[in-house]
Amino acid sequence: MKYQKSIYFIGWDYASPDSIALKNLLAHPLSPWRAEAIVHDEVYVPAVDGIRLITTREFLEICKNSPNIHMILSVKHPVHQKLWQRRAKDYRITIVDEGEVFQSTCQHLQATSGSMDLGIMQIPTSMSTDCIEALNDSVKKLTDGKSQEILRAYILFLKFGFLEAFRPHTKAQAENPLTRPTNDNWLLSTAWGNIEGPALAWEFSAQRTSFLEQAMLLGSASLDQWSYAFTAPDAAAATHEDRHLRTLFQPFGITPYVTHLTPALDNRLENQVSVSQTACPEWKNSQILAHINVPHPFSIVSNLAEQNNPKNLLIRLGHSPNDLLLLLQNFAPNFVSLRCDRPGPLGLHAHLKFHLP
Amino acid sequence: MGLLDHNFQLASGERVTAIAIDNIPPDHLARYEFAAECLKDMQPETENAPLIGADIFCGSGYGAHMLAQRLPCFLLGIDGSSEAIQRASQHYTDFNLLFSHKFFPFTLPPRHFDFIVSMESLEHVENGDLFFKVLSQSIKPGGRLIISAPNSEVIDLAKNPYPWHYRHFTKQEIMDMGKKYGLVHQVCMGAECTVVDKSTGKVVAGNYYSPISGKLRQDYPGDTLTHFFKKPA
Repeated sequence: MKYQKSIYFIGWDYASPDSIALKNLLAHPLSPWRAEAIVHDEVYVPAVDGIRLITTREFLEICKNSPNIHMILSVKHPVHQKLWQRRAKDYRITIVDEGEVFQSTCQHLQATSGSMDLGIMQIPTSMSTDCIEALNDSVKKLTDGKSQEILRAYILFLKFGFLEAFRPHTKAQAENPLTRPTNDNWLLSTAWGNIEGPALAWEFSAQRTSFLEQAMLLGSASLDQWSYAFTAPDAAAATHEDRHLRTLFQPFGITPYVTHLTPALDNRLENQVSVSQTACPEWKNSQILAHINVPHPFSIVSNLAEQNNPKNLLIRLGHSPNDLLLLLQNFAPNFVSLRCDRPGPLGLHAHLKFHLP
Repeated sequence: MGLLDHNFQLASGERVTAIAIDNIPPDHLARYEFAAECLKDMQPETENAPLIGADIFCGSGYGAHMLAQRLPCFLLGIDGSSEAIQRASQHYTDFNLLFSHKFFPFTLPPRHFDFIVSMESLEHVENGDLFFKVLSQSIKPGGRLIISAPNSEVIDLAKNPYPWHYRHFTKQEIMDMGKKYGLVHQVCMGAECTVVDKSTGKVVAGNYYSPISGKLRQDYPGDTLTHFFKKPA
Protein backbone atom coordinates (compact mmCIF):
# COMPACT_ATOMS: atom_id res chain seq x y z
CA MET A 1 0.00 0.00 0.00
CA LYS A 2 1.42 3.38 -1.00
CA TYR A 3 0.35 5.98 1.54
CA GLN A 4 -1.10 9.09 -0.01
CA LYS A 5 -0.85 11.51 2.87
CA SER A 6 0.82 11.66 6.22
CA ILE A 7 -0.85 13.48 9.06
CA TYR A 8 0.27 15.19 12.27
CA PHE A 9 -1.91 15.41 15.36
CA ILE A 10 -1.96 18.51 17.54
CA GLY A 11 -3.42 18.07 21.00
CA TRP A 12 -4.89 14.64 20.29
CA ASP A 13 -6.57 13.11 23.34
CA TYR A 14 -5.09 9.73 22.55
CA ALA A 15 -6.57 8.12 25.67
CA SER A 16 -10.19 8.91 24.79
CA PRO A 17 -12.68 6.13 23.93
CA ASP A 18 -13.92 8.46 21.18
CA SER A 19 -10.65 7.98 19.30
CA ILE A 20 -10.95 4.21 18.74
CA ALA A 21 -12.55 4.41 15.27
CA LEU A 22 -9.85 6.83 14.04
CA LYS A 23 -7.07 4.66 15.50
CA ASN A 24 -8.57 1.62 13.76
CA LEU A 25 -8.60 3.55 10.49
CA LEU A 26 -4.99 4.69 10.81
CA ALA A 27 -3.81 1.18 11.69
CA HIS A 28 -5.68 -0.47 8.82
CA PRO A 29 -3.49 -1.72 5.96
CA LEU A 30 -5.83 -0.14 3.40
CA SER A 31 -5.73 3.30 5.03
CA PRO A 32 -4.68 6.11 2.68
CA TRP A 33 -3.57 8.15 5.71
CA ARG A 34 -0.48 7.55 7.80
CA ALA A 35 -0.15 8.89 11.33
CA GLU A 36 3.18 10.69 11.11
CA ALA A 37 3.51 12.09 14.63
CA ILE A 38 1.69 13.41 17.67
CA VAL A 39 2.86 16.91 18.62
CA HIS A 40 3.18 18.14 22.21
CA ASP A 41 5.10 20.96 23.83
CA GLU A 42 6.99 18.35 25.85
CA VAL A 43 7.34 14.64 25.18
CA TYR A 44 8.31 11.89 27.62
CA VAL A 45 8.45 8.82 25.37
CA PRO A 46 9.58 8.52 21.76
CA ALA A 47 6.45 6.85 20.39
CA VAL A 48 3.08 5.36 21.16
CA ASP A 49 1.57 2.56 19.06
CA GLY A 50 4.33 3.13 16.54
CA ILE A 51 3.40 6.83 16.13
CA ARG A 52 6.27 9.22 16.92
CA LEU A 53 5.87 11.87 19.58
CA ILE A 54 7.60 15.13 18.67
CA THR A 55 7.81 18.56 20.22
CA THR A 56 6.13 21.63 18.80
CA ARG A 57 9.57 23.03 17.97
CA GLU A 58 10.52 19.89 16.01
CA PHE A 59 7.19 19.98 14.19
CA LEU A 60 7.62 23.59 13.13
CA GLU A 61 11.13 22.80 11.86
CA ILE A 62 9.62 20.04 9.71
CA CYS A 63 6.97 22.46 8.44
CA LYS A 64 9.64 24.97 7.41
CA ASN A 65 11.23 22.44 5.11
CA SER A 66 8.26 20.42 3.86
CA PRO A 67 5.29 21.53 1.82
CA ASN A 68 1.91 19.75 1.99
CA ILE A 69 1.85 19.08 5.72
CA HIS A 70 -1.56 17.99 7.02
CA MET A 71 -2.56 18.27 10.64
CA ILE A 72 -5.59 17.51 12.77
CA LEU A 73 -6.06 20.28 15.31
CA SER A 74 -7.65 18.83 18.43
CA VAL A 75 -6.65 21.41 21.03
CA LYS A 76 -9.64 22.63 23.02
CA HIS A 77 -8.26 25.82 24.57
CA PRO A 78 -9.41 28.78 22.41
CA VAL A 79 -6.10 30.67 22.73
CA HIS A 80 -4.09 27.61 21.70
CA GLN A 81 -6.51 27.02 18.84
CA LYS A 82 -5.93 30.54 17.53
CA LEU A 83 -2.19 30.13 17.95
CA TRP A 84 -2.23 26.94 15.86
CA GLN A 85 -4.49 28.49 13.26
CA ARG A 86 -1.96 31.31 12.91
CA ARG A 87 0.89 28.77 12.63
CA ALA A 88 -1.10 26.88 9.97
CA LYS A 89 -1.32 30.12 7.96
CA ASP A 90 2.33 31.08 8.51
CA TYR A 91 3.72 27.63 7.67
CA ARG A 92 1.12 26.77 5.00
CA ILE A 93 -0.09 23.73 6.89
CA THR A 94 -3.39 22.21 5.75
CA ILE A 95 -5.77 21.67 8.64
CA VAL A 96 -8.01 18.64 8.17
CA ASP A 97 -10.62 17.34 10.56
CA GLU A 98 -11.49 13.79 11.55
CA GLY A 99 -14.53 13.84 9.26
CA GLU A 100 -12.37 14.61 6.22
CA VAL A 101 -10.09 11.71 7.09
CA PHE A 102 -13.08 9.34 7.25
CA GLN A 103 -14.59 10.73 4.06
CA SER A 104 -11.40 10.66 2.01
CA THR A 105 -10.79 7.09 3.19
CA CYS A 106 -14.32 6.24 2.09
CA GLN A 107 -13.66 7.68 -1.38
CA HIS A 108 -10.35 5.83 -1.57
CA LEU A 109 -12.02 2.53 -0.65
CA GLN A 110 -14.81 3.07 -3.15
CA ALA A 111 -12.22 3.61 -5.87
CA THR A 112 -10.22 0.52 -4.89
CA SER A 113 -13.15 -1.75 -3.91
CA GLY A 114 -11.76 -2.11 -0.40
CA SER A 115 -13.62 -2.04 2.90
CA MET A 116 -12.88 -1.41 6.57
CA ASP A 117 -14.69 -2.43 9.73
CA LEU A 118 -14.12 0.38 12.25
CA GLY A 119 -16.39 -1.03 14.95
CA ILE A 120 -19.07 1.63 14.92
CA MET A 121 -19.18 1.86 11.12
CA GLN A 122 -18.17 -0.03 8.05
CA ILE A 123 -16.76 2.06 5.28
CA PRO A 124 -17.45 2.70 2.48
CA THR A 125 -21.00 1.30 2.85
CA SER A 126 -21.90 3.17 6.06
CA MET A 127 -20.78 6.49 4.55
CA SER A 128 -22.46 6.25 1.17
CA THR A 129 -23.65 9.70 0.11
CA ASP A 130 -26.05 8.50 -2.58
CA CYS A 131 -29.26 9.32 -0.80
CA ILE A 132 -28.45 12.30 1.44
CA GLU A 133 -30.90 14.62 -0.30
CA ALA A 134 -33.71 12.05 -0.16
CA LEU A 135 -33.04 11.49 3.56
CA ASN A 136 -33.00 15.24 4.10
CA ASP A 137 -36.46 15.47 2.58
CA SER A 138 -37.67 12.83 5.04
CA VAL A 139 -36.65 14.64 8.25
CA LYS A 140 -39.81 16.65 8.64
CA LYS A 141 -42.01 13.71 7.73
CA LEU A 142 -40.99 11.90 10.92
CA THR A 143 -43.52 12.65 13.58
CA ASP A 144 -41.44 12.70 16.77
CA GLY A 145 -38.78 15.25 17.59
CA LYS A 146 -36.21 12.75 18.88
CA SER A 147 -36.31 10.80 15.62
CA GLN A 148 -35.90 14.01 13.65
CA GLU A 149 -32.83 14.91 15.73
CA ILE A 150 -31.30 11.47 15.17
CA LEU A 151 -31.91 11.60 11.43
CA ARG A 152 -30.36 15.08 11.28
CA ALA A 153 -27.30 13.75 13.14
CA TYR A 154 -27.07 10.85 10.69
CA ILE A 155 -27.28 13.20 7.70
CA LEU A 156 -24.59 15.40 9.26
CA PHE A 157 -22.38 12.34 9.54
CA LEU A 158 -23.05 11.36 5.92
CA LYS A 159 -22.32 14.88 4.68
CA PHE A 160 -19.25 15.69 6.75
CA GLY A 161 -18.09 12.46 8.43
CA PHE A 162 -18.60 13.92 11.91
CA LEU A 163 -19.10 11.15 14.45
CA GLU A 164 -19.64 13.87 17.07
CA ALA A 165 -23.14 14.30 15.65
CA PHE A 166 -24.20 10.94 17.10
CA ARG A 167 -22.82 11.45 20.59
CA PRO A 168 -25.63 13.53 22.09
CA HIS A 169 -28.08 10.82 21.04
CA THR A 170 -26.20 7.82 22.39
CA LYS A 171 -26.07 7.34 26.09
CA ALA A 172 -25.03 4.23 27.94
CA GLN A 173 -28.28 2.35 28.16
CA ALA A 174 -29.13 -0.60 30.33
CA GLU A 175 -29.73 -3.73 28.31
CA ASN A 176 -32.20 -4.88 30.91
CA PRO A 177 -35.62 -3.45 30.01
CA LEU A 178 -36.75 -3.66 33.63
CA THR A 179 -34.04 -1.36 34.91
CA ARG A 180 -34.05 1.29 32.22
CA PRO A 181 -34.75 4.82 33.40
CA THR A 182 -38.28 5.92 32.61
CA ASN A 183 -37.08 8.75 30.38
CA ASP A 184 -34.97 6.38 28.29
CA ASN A 185 -35.77 6.52 24.60
CA TRP A 186 -36.21 2.78 24.30
CA LEU A 187 -39.39 2.22 22.48
CA LEU A 188 -40.19 -1.47 22.56
CA SER A 189 -40.43 -1.72 26.33
CA THR A 190 -43.34 0.71 26.31
CA ALA A 191 -45.07 -1.12 23.48
CA TRP A 192 -44.50 -4.55 24.96
CA GLY A 193 -46.15 -3.67 28.19
CA ASN A 194 -49.52 -3.63 26.42
CA ILE A 195 -49.31 -6.93 24.62
CA GLU A 196 -51.95 -9.45 25.55
CA GLY A 197 -52.48 -12.93 24.18
CA PRO A 198 -50.23 -15.01 21.92
CA ALA A 199 -47.11 -13.37 20.59
CA LEU A 200 -43.94 -14.35 18.78
CA ALA A 201 -40.60 -12.82 19.80
CA TRP A 202 -38.29 -13.23 16.84
CA GLU A 203 -34.67 -12.32 16.26
CA PHE A 204 -33.02 -12.20 12.84
CA SER A 205 -29.27 -12.09 13.27
CA ALA A 206 -26.04 -13.90 12.49
CA GLN A 207 -25.25 -13.92 16.22
CA ARG A 208 -27.72 -13.97 19.08
CA THR A 209 -28.10 -10.86 21.22
CA SER A 210 -30.04 -10.56 24.50
CA PHE A 211 -33.22 -9.69 22.61
CA LEU A 212 -35.12 -12.93 23.25
CA GLU A 213 -34.25 -12.84 26.94
CA GLN A 214 -35.49 -9.26 27.16
CA ALA A 215 -38.68 -10.28 25.40
CA MET A 216 -39.16 -13.12 27.83
CA LEU A 217 -38.72 -10.82 30.81
CA LEU A 218 -41.43 -8.56 29.48
CA GLY A 219 -43.75 -11.39 28.44
CA SER A 220 -43.21 -13.60 31.48
CA ALA A 221 -46.82 -13.15 32.63
CA SER A 222 -48.00 -14.93 29.44
CA LEU A 223 -45.26 -17.55 29.13
CA ASP A 224 -47.65 -20.20 27.87
CA GLN A 225 -48.87 -17.92 25.09
CA TRP A 226 -45.57 -16.59 23.80
CA SER A 227 -43.19 -18.34 21.45
CA TYR A 228 -39.60 -17.52 20.59
CA ALA A 229 -37.71 -17.78 17.33
CA PHE A 230 -34.22 -17.12 16.06
CA THR A 231 -33.43 -16.91 12.36
CA ALA A 232 -29.89 -16.69 11.02
CA PRO A 233 -28.80 -15.71 7.52
CA ASP A 234 -27.25 -19.17 6.97
CA ALA A 235 -27.40 -22.74 8.24
CA ALA A 236 -24.05 -22.68 10.06
CA ALA A 237 -24.98 -19.66 12.19
CA ALA A 238 -28.41 -21.12 12.99
CA THR A 239 -26.95 -24.46 14.07
CA HIS A 240 -24.35 -22.69 16.21
CA GLU A 241 -27.00 -20.70 18.12
CA ASP A 242 -29.43 -23.61 18.40
CA ARG A 243 -27.55 -25.21 21.30
CA HIS A 244 -27.26 -21.87 23.14
CA LEU A 245 -30.96 -21.18 22.82
CA ARG A 246 -31.92 -24.62 24.10
CA THR A 247 -29.69 -24.05 27.13
CA LEU A 248 -31.52 -20.82 27.84
CA PHE A 249 -35.11 -21.78 27.17
CA GLN A 250 -35.51 -25.49 27.91
CA PRO A 251 -35.49 -25.04 31.72
CA PHE A 252 -38.72 -23.07 31.18
CA GLY A 253 -40.20 -25.88 29.06
CA ILE A 254 -39.86 -23.76 25.93
CA THR A 255 -38.35 -24.99 22.69
CA PRO A 256 -37.39 -22.00 20.60
CA TYR A 257 -37.78 -22.14 16.84
CA VAL A 258 -34.41 -21.91 15.11
CA THR A 259 -34.32 -21.41 11.37
CA HIS A 260 -32.18 -19.98 8.61
CA LEU A 261 -32.98 -18.07 5.46
CA THR A 262 -32.34 -19.21 1.92
CA PRO A 263 -30.61 -16.40 0.00
CA ALA A 264 -31.18 -18.28 -3.27
CA LEU A 265 -34.91 -17.83 -2.70
CA ASP A 266 -34.70 -14.08 -1.91
CA ASN A 267 -34.72 -14.64 1.88
CA ARG A 268 -38.51 -14.95 1.79
CA LEU A 269 -39.81 -16.08 5.15
CA GLU A 270 -41.97 -18.70 3.46
CA ASN A 271 -38.71 -20.37 2.44
CA GLN A 272 -36.93 -20.41 5.79
CA VAL A 273 -35.49 -23.76 6.85
CA SER A 274 -35.61 -25.05 10.41
CA VAL A 275 -32.72 -26.73 12.19
CA SER A 276 -33.00 -29.64 14.66
CA GLN A 277 -36.11 -30.87 12.87
CA THR A 278 -38.39 -28.41 14.64
CA ALA A 279 -41.17 -26.56 12.83
CA CYS A 280 -40.84 -23.02 11.51
CA PRO A 281 -42.47 -20.32 13.63
CA GLU A 282 -46.10 -19.46 13.01
CA TRP A 283 -45.69 -15.87 11.90
CA LYS A 284 -48.67 -15.00 9.78
CA ASN A 285 -51.26 -14.77 12.54
CA SER A 286 -49.24 -13.95 15.66
CA GLN A 287 -48.43 -10.63 17.19
CA ILE A 288 -44.76 -10.23 16.33
CA LEU A 289 -41.94 -8.55 18.23
CA ALA A 290 -38.90 -8.74 16.03
CA HIS A 291 -35.29 -7.62 16.20
CA ILE A 292 -33.89 -7.54 12.67
CA ASN A 293 -30.12 -7.34 12.87
CA VAL A 294 -28.93 -8.31 9.39
CA PRO A 295 -27.52 -6.32 6.46
CA HIS A 296 -30.19 -5.25 3.95
CA PRO A 297 -33.12 -5.80 6.31
CA PHE A 298 -35.74 -4.33 4.01
CA SER A 299 -36.70 -7.61 2.31
CA ILE A 300 -37.52 -9.17 5.70
CA VAL A 301 -39.40 -6.09 6.87
CA SER A 302 -41.50 -5.91 3.71
CA ASN A 303 -42.16 -9.64 3.91
CA LEU A 304 -43.43 -9.28 7.48
CA ALA A 305 -45.43 -6.17 6.57
CA GLU A 306 -47.41 -8.09 3.95
CA GLN A 307 -49.32 -9.85 6.72
CA ASN A 308 -52.05 -8.00 8.49
CA ASN A 309 -50.96 -8.95 12.02
CA PRO A 310 -49.80 -6.58 14.78
CA LYS A 311 -46.06 -6.07 14.74
CA ASN A 312 -43.29 -4.26 16.59
CA LEU A 313 -40.15 -4.36 14.50
CA LEU A 314 -36.81 -3.07 15.77
CA ILE A 315 -34.47 -2.88 12.81
CA ARG A 316 -30.74 -2.25 13.05
CA LEU A 317 -29.70 0.01 10.21
CA GLY A 318 -26.45 1.79 9.46
CA HIS A 319 -24.82 -0.71 7.14
CA SER A 320 -26.06 1.53 4.34
CA PRO A 321 -28.13 4.76 4.32
CA ASN A 322 -30.21 3.18 1.58
CA ASP A 323 -31.69 0.74 4.14
CA LEU A 324 -33.15 3.64 6.11
CA LEU A 325 -34.35 5.41 2.99
CA LEU A 326 -36.21 2.31 1.83
CA LEU A 327 -38.02 2.13 5.17
CA LEU A 328 -38.90 5.81 5.13
CA GLN A 329 -40.14 5.66 1.53
CA ASN A 330 -42.22 2.53 1.99
CA PHE A 331 -43.86 2.99 5.38
CA ALA A 332 -45.98 5.81 6.69
CA PRO A 333 -43.73 8.13 8.76
CA ASN A 334 -45.97 7.87 11.79
CA PHE A 335 -45.07 4.14 11.93
CA VAL A 336 -41.33 4.89 12.08
CA SER A 337 -39.21 6.18 14.94
CA LEU A 338 -35.44 6.18 15.28
CA ARG A 339 -33.02 5.48 18.11
CA CYS A 340 -29.25 5.12 18.37
CA ASP A 341 -27.34 3.00 20.88
CA ARG A 342 -23.74 3.40 19.64
CA PRO A 343 -21.77 6.54 18.73
CA GLY A 344 -21.75 5.72 15.04
CA PRO A 345 -24.03 4.71 12.18
CA LEU A 346 -24.08 1.04 13.22
CA GLY A 347 -25.96 2.15 16.35
CA LEU A 348 -28.87 3.40 14.30
CA HIS A 349 -32.20 1.57 14.73
CA ALA A 350 -35.64 2.11 13.34
CA HIS A 351 -38.72 1.02 15.21
CA LEU A 352 -41.78 0.18 13.13
CA LYS A 353 -45.04 -0.37 14.90
CA PHE A 354 -48.05 -1.82 13.08
CA HIS A 355 -51.60 -2.06 14.32
CA LEU A 356 -51.01 -2.43 18.00
CA PRO A 357 -53.70 -1.14 20.31
CA MET B 1 -3.53 -2.45 52.91
CA GLY B 2 -5.74 -5.21 54.23
CA LEU B 3 -9.25 -6.25 53.31
CA LEU B 4 -10.74 -3.83 55.86
CA ASP B 5 -8.92 -0.87 54.26
CA HIS B 6 -9.79 -1.84 50.71
CA ASN B 7 -12.06 0.60 48.88
CA PHE B 8 -14.72 -1.52 47.18
CA GLN B 9 -16.75 1.39 45.83
CA LEU B 10 -17.58 1.41 42.14
CA ALA B 11 -15.81 4.72 41.61
CA SER B 12 -12.61 3.65 43.39
CA GLY B 13 -10.78 3.48 40.06
CA GLU B 14 -10.09 -0.23 40.51
CA ARG B 15 -12.66 -1.41 37.98
CA VAL B 16 -13.86 -0.66 34.49
CA THR B 17 -17.32 0.71 35.20
CA ALA B 18 -18.52 1.36 31.64
CA ILE B 19 -21.40 -0.71 30.39
CA ALA B 20 -21.51 0.51 26.79
CA ILE B 21 -19.25 -1.71 24.71
CA ASP B 22 -17.70 1.31 22.95
CA ASN B 23 -16.49 2.68 26.28
CA ILE B 24 -14.78 -0.50 27.46
CA PRO B 25 -11.03 -0.48 26.78
CA PRO B 26 -10.07 -2.67 23.81
CA ASP B 27 -7.55 -4.68 25.86
CA HIS B 28 -10.32 -5.68 28.28
CA LEU B 29 -12.56 -6.77 25.44
CA ALA B 30 -9.67 -8.60 23.77
CA ARG B 31 -9.02 -10.69 26.90
CA TYR B 32 -12.62 -11.92 27.01
CA GLU B 33 -12.63 -12.48 23.23
CA PHE B 34 -9.54 -14.61 23.76
CA ALA B 35 -11.24 -16.52 26.60
CA ALA B 36 -14.26 -17.22 24.39
CA GLU B 37 -11.92 -18.55 21.68
CA CYS B 38 -10.15 -20.80 24.20
CA LEU B 39 -13.47 -22.22 25.37
CA LYS B 40 -15.50 -22.53 22.21
CA ASP B 41 -14.55 -26.16 21.50
CA MET B 42 -15.38 -27.38 25.03
CA GLN B 43 -17.91 -30.18 25.30
CA PRO B 44 -19.87 -30.84 28.50
CA GLU B 45 -19.61 -34.22 30.22
CA THR B 46 -23.24 -35.01 29.39
CA GLU B 47 -24.49 -34.40 25.88
CA ASN B 48 -26.63 -31.26 25.56
CA ALA B 49 -25.90 -30.22 29.15
CA PRO B 50 -24.55 -26.70 29.55
CA LEU B 51 -20.97 -25.97 30.54
CA ILE B 52 -20.60 -24.57 34.05
CA GLY B 53 -18.30 -21.57 34.30
CA ALA B 54 -17.31 -18.69 36.54
CA ASP B 55 -15.92 -15.19 36.02
CA ILE B 56 -14.08 -14.43 39.25
CA PHE B 57 -13.75 -10.69 39.88
CA CYS B 58 -16.18 -9.90 37.10
CA GLY B 59 -16.46 -6.17 37.93
CA SER B 60 -19.52 -4.63 36.35
CA GLY B 61 -20.14 -7.76 34.32
CA TYR B 62 -19.42 -6.88 30.68
CA GLY B 63 -17.02 -9.82 30.23
CA ALA B 64 -19.29 -12.35 31.93
CA HIS B 65 -22.06 -11.09 29.66
CA MET B 66 -19.86 -11.60 26.58
CA LEU B 67 -19.14 -15.19 27.62
CA ALA B 68 -22.77 -15.88 28.52
CA GLN B 69 -23.77 -14.71 25.06
CA ARG B 70 -21.14 -16.69 23.20
CA LEU B 71 -21.05 -20.04 25.01
CA PRO B 72 -23.75 -22.62 25.83
CA CYS B 73 -23.00 -22.34 29.52
CA PHE B 74 -24.24 -21.31 32.94
CA LEU B 75 -21.98 -18.71 34.41
CA LEU B 76 -21.41 -17.32 37.89
CA GLY B 77 -19.90 -13.83 38.16
CA ILE B 78 -18.32 -12.91 41.52
CA ASP B 79 -16.90 -9.58 42.58
CA GLY B 80 -15.87 -7.93 45.85
CA SER B 81 -17.71 -4.69 45.08
CA SER B 82 -21.41 -4.81 45.88
CA GLU B 83 -21.89 -1.71 43.74
CA ALA B 84 -20.26 -3.40 40.75
CA ILE B 85 -22.45 -6.48 41.25
CA GLN B 86 -25.56 -4.32 41.50
CA ARG B 87 -24.56 -2.58 38.27
CA ALA B 88 -23.96 -5.91 36.54
CA SER B 89 -27.30 -7.34 37.68
CA GLN B 90 -29.13 -4.24 36.53
CA HIS B 91 -27.62 -4.16 33.09
CA TYR B 92 -27.47 -7.70 31.82
CA THR B 93 -30.49 -9.88 31.20
CA ASP B 94 -28.73 -13.15 30.36
CA PHE B 95 -30.70 -16.07 31.82
CA ASN B 96 -27.52 -18.12 32.03
CA LEU B 97 -25.64 -15.61 34.17
CA LEU B 98 -25.88 -15.02 37.91
CA PHE B 99 -23.89 -12.41 39.80
CA SER B 100 -22.80 -12.66 43.40
CA HIS B 101 -21.05 -10.30 45.77
CA LYS B 102 -18.23 -11.88 47.75
CA PHE B 103 -14.88 -10.77 49.16
CA PHE B 104 -11.88 -13.03 48.75
CA PRO B 105 -10.98 -15.25 50.59
CA PHE B 106 -13.87 -17.54 49.72
CA THR B 107 -13.95 -21.17 48.74
CA LEU B 108 -15.42 -22.70 45.63
CA PRO B 109 -16.70 -26.26 45.28
CA PRO B 110 -13.86 -28.60 44.26
CA ARG B 111 -13.84 -30.01 40.71
CA HIS B 112 -17.06 -28.15 39.92
CA PHE B 113 -16.44 -25.76 37.03
CA ASP B 114 -15.76 -26.63 33.41
CA PHE B 115 -13.97 -23.31 33.12
CA ILE B 116 -12.98 -20.28 35.14
CA VAL B 117 -12.09 -16.91 33.74
CA SER B 118 -10.42 -14.37 36.02
CA MET B 119 -9.08 -11.23 34.41
CA GLU B 120 -6.86 -8.72 36.20
CA SER B 121 -7.58 -10.35 39.53
CA LEU B 122 -4.49 -11.99 40.97
CA GLU B 123 -2.82 -8.65 41.71
CA HIS B 124 -5.84 -7.46 43.72
CA VAL B 125 -5.63 -10.09 46.49
CA GLU B 126 -3.12 -10.22 49.28
CA ASN B 127 -2.46 -13.91 48.87
CA GLY B 128 -2.28 -14.51 45.13
CA ASP B 129 -1.03 -18.05 45.57
CA LEU B 130 -4.06 -18.98 47.67
CA PHE B 131 -6.38 -17.36 45.13
CA PHE B 132 -4.78 -19.34 42.30
CA LYS B 133 -5.07 -22.53 44.36
CA VAL B 134 -8.80 -22.01 45.04
CA LEU B 135 -9.51 -21.44 41.36
CA SER B 136 -7.38 -24.38 40.23
CA GLN B 137 -8.99 -26.80 42.66
CA SER B 138 -12.51 -25.87 41.67
CA ILE B 139 -11.91 -26.72 38.01
CA LYS B 140 -12.97 -30.17 36.86
CA PRO B 141 -10.39 -32.52 35.35
CA GLY B 142 -10.34 -31.53 31.68
CA GLY B 143 -11.41 -28.00 32.64
CA ARG B 144 -9.78 -24.70 31.70
CA LEU B 145 -8.53 -21.55 33.37
CA ILE B 146 -7.93 -18.22 31.66
CA ILE B 147 -6.30 -15.72 33.99
CA SER B 148 -4.51 -12.40 33.52
CA ALA B 149 -2.34 -10.09 35.61
CA PRO B 150 0.11 -7.20 35.12
CA ASN B 151 3.62 -8.19 34.11
CA SER B 152 6.09 -7.16 36.81
CA GLU B 153 8.91 -7.24 34.26
CA VAL B 154 7.28 -4.27 32.50
CA ILE B 155 5.42 -2.52 35.32
CA ASP B 156 7.43 -2.74 38.48
CA LEU B 157 5.03 -2.07 41.35
CA ALA B 158 7.84 -0.53 43.43
CA LYS B 159 8.26 2.21 40.80
CA ASN B 160 4.56 2.48 39.95
CA PRO B 161 2.46 2.24 43.09
CA TYR B 162 -1.07 1.19 42.16
CA PRO B 163 -3.12 1.68 45.33
CA TRP B 164 -5.18 -1.47 44.87
CA HIS B 165 -2.47 -3.85 43.64
CA TYR B 166 -0.61 -6.09 46.10
CA ARG B 167 1.92 -7.41 43.59
CA HIS B 168 2.55 -7.95 39.90
CA PHE B 169 3.75 -11.23 38.41
CA THR B 170 6.26 -12.40 35.85
CA LYS B 171 5.16 -14.81 33.15
CA GLN B 172 7.24 -17.52 34.80
CA GLU B 173 5.69 -16.96 38.24
CA ILE B 174 2.21 -17.55 36.90
CA MET B 175 3.34 -20.57 34.89
CA ASP B 176 4.93 -21.94 38.06
CA MET B 177 1.71 -21.46 40.02
CA GLY B 178 -0.17 -23.36 37.33
CA LYS B 179 2.34 -26.20 37.53
CA LYS B 180 2.17 -26.23 41.33
CA TYR B 181 -1.60 -26.71 41.23
CA GLY B 182 -1.71 -29.31 38.49
CA LEU B 183 -2.49 -27.19 35.44
CA VAL B 184 -0.81 -27.40 32.07
CA HIS B 185 0.12 -24.09 30.48
CA GLN B 186 -1.14 -23.67 26.92
CA VAL B 187 -0.29 -20.17 25.80
CA CYS B 188 0.50 -16.67 27.08
CA MET B 189 -0.80 -13.56 25.33
CA GLY B 190 0.59 -10.08 25.93
CA ALA B 191 -0.94 -6.63 25.48
CA GLU B 192 -0.02 -3.08 26.42
CA CYS B 193 -2.40 -0.75 28.16
CA THR B 194 0.09 1.82 29.43
CA VAL B 195 3.02 3.79 28.03
CA VAL B 196 6.16 3.04 30.04
CA ASP B 197 9.31 5.15 29.90
CA LYS B 198 11.90 2.41 29.45
CA SER B 199 14.70 4.53 30.91
CA THR B 200 12.96 5.00 34.26
CA GLY B 201 10.54 2.06 34.27
CA LYS B 202 7.73 4.45 35.12
CA VAL B 203 4.31 4.52 33.56
CA VAL B 204 4.04 7.96 31.95
CA ALA B 205 0.53 7.62 30.51
CA GLY B 206 -2.39 5.29 30.21
CA ASN B 207 -3.05 3.91 26.75
CA TYR B 208 -6.28 2.18 27.62
CA TYR B 209 -8.24 2.98 24.48
CA SER B 210 -5.80 1.73 21.92
CA PRO B 211 -7.03 -1.12 19.71
CA ILE B 212 -3.41 -1.44 18.55
CA SER B 213 -1.66 -1.86 21.89
CA GLY B 214 -4.66 -3.60 23.43
CA LYS B 215 -4.51 -6.40 20.91
CA LEU B 216 -3.39 -9.73 22.43
CA ARG B 217 -0.24 -11.12 20.86
CA GLN B 218 1.17 -14.55 21.52
CA ASP B 219 4.28 -14.55 23.75
CA TYR B 220 4.49 -10.76 23.52
CA PRO B 221 6.08 -9.35 26.70
CA GLY B 222 3.39 -6.71 27.23
CA ASP B 223 2.49 -4.96 30.47
CA THR B 224 -0.45 -7.34 30.90
CA LEU B 225 -0.25 -11.08 30.34
CA THR B 226 -3.19 -13.44 29.83
CA HIS B 227 -2.55 -17.14 30.43
CA PHE B 228 -4.53 -20.13 29.25
CA PHE B 229 -4.23 -23.33 31.33
CA LYS B 230 -5.85 -26.75 31.03
CA LYS B 231 -6.31 -29.25 33.82
CA PRO B 232 -5.47 -32.77 32.66
CA ALA B 233 -8.51 -35.06 32.35
